[in-house]
Amino acid sequence: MMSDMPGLNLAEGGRDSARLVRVWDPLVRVIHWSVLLGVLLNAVITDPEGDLHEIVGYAILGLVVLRLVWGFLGVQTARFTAFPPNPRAALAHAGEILRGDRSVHLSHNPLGALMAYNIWATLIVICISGIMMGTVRFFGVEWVEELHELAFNWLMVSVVLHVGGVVLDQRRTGVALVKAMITGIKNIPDGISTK
Amino acid sequence: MKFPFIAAALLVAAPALAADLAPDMELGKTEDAVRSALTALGYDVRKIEEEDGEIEAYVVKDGEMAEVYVDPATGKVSKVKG
Ligand code: HEM
Repeated sequence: MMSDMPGLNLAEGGRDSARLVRVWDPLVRVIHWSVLLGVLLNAVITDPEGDLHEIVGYAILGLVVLRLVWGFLGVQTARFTAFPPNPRAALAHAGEILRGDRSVHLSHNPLGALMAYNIWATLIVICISGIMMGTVRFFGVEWVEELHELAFNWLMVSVVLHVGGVVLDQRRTGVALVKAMITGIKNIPDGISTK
Repeated sequence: MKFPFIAAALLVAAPALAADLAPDMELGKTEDAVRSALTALGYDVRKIEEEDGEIEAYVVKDGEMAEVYVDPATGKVSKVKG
């Protein structure tokens, strides 16, 4: 569908003229925005003790698990191998940014990668502790509820940092990242190389 | 007028618990009193806390879970959520 767009190159990397590169497949995009919707619903709208809260929670868990499976089986940029969790690389990347480097990662940059793994892990902790609260064994057990709330608060902190990181990286590289998460296509500005 | 309706709703929602925890039943005016009353009735009291001016107890009995709300002014059960 998009492949006959003028100027669209599939991921090759390393070229220097302004170009469009398809990076996020539909599954990655649908999962991202659906998880956001689910988190919003359960944070703001649903009654925490109601059935809908549970249903939405299960849906989020399902989406995260699907995304993790896709991390092994999916297209190139969606795979864990394209954005391995690597704190040292993240630190190095932070250094590069401070030195004014403007190179673009087609998948997540090493800082964004850590944030993605952090968010997935946090979502899983929230969902599992929530499911536990509804079992006879853990019903009314304080530490489970505290874990659920603590993980939720950590998710909120993470999302603020996540959105902040996206906005800053858009400014640094000139790549419209949010748009790319909607259309699937990153615009790589003139003279910028990709990794 | 409201009580038969609520009681009926509770019977549908949590038959086993509603049988021995009807609204209006007196359990006590403090958390401690409510805890011992529920324990005496055979409930495993998992947690007890104040919520919106009421005493809320998380109880389990025969594999069933419920939240019991007690009005501390009257000491009576105001609501049971299955
Ligand atoms: C509850 C809220 C959110 C959660 C849980 C969340 C989670 C995530 C996760 C897990 C990823 C990695 C995606 C993947 O590889 O599948 C991601 C990427 C991304 N998210 Fe979010 N997100 C949230 C909100 C937002 C918002 C509000 C925006 C828009 C400003 C946004 C923009 C993006 C973008 C642009 C990427 C791709 C970044 C890149 O190019 O490396 N996210 N998000």
